[in-house]
Amino acid sequence: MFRYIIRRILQFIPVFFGATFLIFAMVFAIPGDPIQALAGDKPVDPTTKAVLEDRYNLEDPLLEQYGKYIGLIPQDPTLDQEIAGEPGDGFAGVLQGEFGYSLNRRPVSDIMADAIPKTAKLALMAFVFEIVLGISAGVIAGLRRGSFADNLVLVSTLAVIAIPVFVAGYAAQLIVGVRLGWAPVNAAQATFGQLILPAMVLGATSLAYIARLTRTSLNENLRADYVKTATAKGLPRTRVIGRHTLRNSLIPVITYLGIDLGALMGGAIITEGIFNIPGIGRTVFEGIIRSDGPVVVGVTTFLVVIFMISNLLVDVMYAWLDPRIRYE
Amino acid sequence: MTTTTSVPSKLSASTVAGHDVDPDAPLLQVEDLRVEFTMPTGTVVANDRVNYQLDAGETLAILGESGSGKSVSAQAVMGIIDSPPGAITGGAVRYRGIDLLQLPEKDRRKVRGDHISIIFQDALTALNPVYTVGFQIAEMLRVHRGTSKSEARKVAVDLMDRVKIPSARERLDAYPHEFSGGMRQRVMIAMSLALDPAVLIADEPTTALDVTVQAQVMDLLAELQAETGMGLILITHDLGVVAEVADRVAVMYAGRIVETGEIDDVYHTPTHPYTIGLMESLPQLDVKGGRLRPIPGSPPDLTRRPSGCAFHPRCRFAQQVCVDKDPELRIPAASMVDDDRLAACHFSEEIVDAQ
Repeated sequence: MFRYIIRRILQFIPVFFGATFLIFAMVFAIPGDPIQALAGDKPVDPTTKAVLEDRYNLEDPLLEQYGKYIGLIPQDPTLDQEIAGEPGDGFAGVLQGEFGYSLNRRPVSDIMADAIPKTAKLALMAFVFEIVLGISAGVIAGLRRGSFADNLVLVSTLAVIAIPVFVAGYAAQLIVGVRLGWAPVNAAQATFGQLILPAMVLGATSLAYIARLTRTSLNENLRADYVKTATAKGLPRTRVIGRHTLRNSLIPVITYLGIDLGALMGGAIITEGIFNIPGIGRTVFEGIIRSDGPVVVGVTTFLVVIFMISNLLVDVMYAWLDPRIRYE
Repeated sequence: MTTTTSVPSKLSASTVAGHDVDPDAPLLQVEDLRVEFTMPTGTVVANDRVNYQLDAGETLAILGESGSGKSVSAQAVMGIIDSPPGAITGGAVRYRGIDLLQLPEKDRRKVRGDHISIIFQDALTALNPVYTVGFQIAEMLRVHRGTSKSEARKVAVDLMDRVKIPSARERLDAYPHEFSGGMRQRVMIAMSLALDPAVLIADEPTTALDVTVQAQVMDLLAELQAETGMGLILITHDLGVVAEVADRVAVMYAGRIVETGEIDDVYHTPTHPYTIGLMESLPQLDVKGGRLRPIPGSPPDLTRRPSGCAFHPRCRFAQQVCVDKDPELRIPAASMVDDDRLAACHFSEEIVDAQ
């Protein structure tokens, strides 16, 4: 198991370089001139433009730009000196913990430090919401197949899955926030109270999937021979379900949750837009509009790492839930 | 196995789950049991008028093809029929005189595993894959007796020793998939014997095993039965196994018992055409060069049970009366057959005379 985890962490390395390079290349490919975008409609002085292009390595070939960004190729230390007031050692890339500077001269690490906690808070609240309600609804529906509760769960989850997030988000904002006045419409400070409604909107679709997944899985496992054995052993029904059925039923749910944790962080763009939350979703969105490569690549790199870690956690939890899974 | 001096400890108690026992009643008596399954295609009567009796120390074999209802009757006795779609719609299951079907679920649960235990065909699927075998054996004691964790583990080791699992202590924390098929079935047996039940139902305990391992498991069951004096219901389609270990046999066909009696008698002088068919389909060591005679046709679809005697479409003795009238289980009035025999055939006497 230990060796497996080490090997998985080593696998992070190629995935990390591959993913960041792809993102970098895609931002590179965005049409338009980022320096011109900074100035808006006004013409840019050619000398200024040349200086800026030099500072941001915009004239270098793609691979060289990437190498400088990631910190494998030394770059001109003057940019560091000019913005931060002290000379850098030349190597100032992601590997050195430096995410570079945005086109408006803010360190990307500062931008991320501002945005990530807000999104993380939102995503975690959505995550808890969908786990607690999703699994409970799935268990209730799965235990009483064909009952009113089962049909209610099936129909309501279908509706939730069918409605796109931007519709559900605006509808929730309008009804719960404006008409009923139960929740704040604007979550700019991202406090707990402000984030409750956005978290419910963000988690709703996954909640529906989790409820359905739990229901189906529980249903299947209830027919398993070992559940019959557990009953034949004279165990109370609560123990037959809680101990002998649920644990086996949650294995596919855990897989989904692992992928979902990363998706929640990245998928908050729309929700953050609707509720005006200054999280990473909005940061990336604005970065793309401005062709601000360092911001977009920085945030996305962070998301890639989150995805890799949550997937590793899922695999470790797998082995814990199901001892038949042994990693070599 | 007919002679045994030991008596299960369970039989000394005068109450079961708070209900008084009838001291004169047989250990287990199944009366006119009827089990129905409601399927989209119609109602299936999986057990109809099933009657049998089991005494302490006795081995009753229930013999039949797949789908004959033998496993259903065992699950009805245990009270573990999937409901819905299944339901017990008639009859009684009396354990020492107490009708288990009338007990409230909480009392019924106390009988399960403690007084009446079951082992299933495939121990790989019947054991929970995510718990260690030690946990699953100890769980019986923990739940029914409230035994402490460490004490229950000790008992689990003893039980595993008793069913001859080598190095039991080390294997306590192994998972079911880490055992061989035979060892897994031993784990299942250890688990079912944890509380010293008075009745053990073995539902095709050796079907999933190699022939050599089959014999070992059957020997183990016989040995354990001799030690404990429990009553054993052996559900099987293996005539060879039945002949070796059973005292009495009940042959089932299409949800009904068609013939019961002492094992040697039934083998020697079957009085139902289906039993005869089973005997003839069995290879014999002492008859050289003969051909096996399989029973023609296949078991009926229980949603479309044949009229009259369910066996008539496959029966070489069938007459018009067999199509019209369902024969009752009765004592055949044939000279070579004793009073202990029951058969559900209109022509039992003629069949015996013809042999």
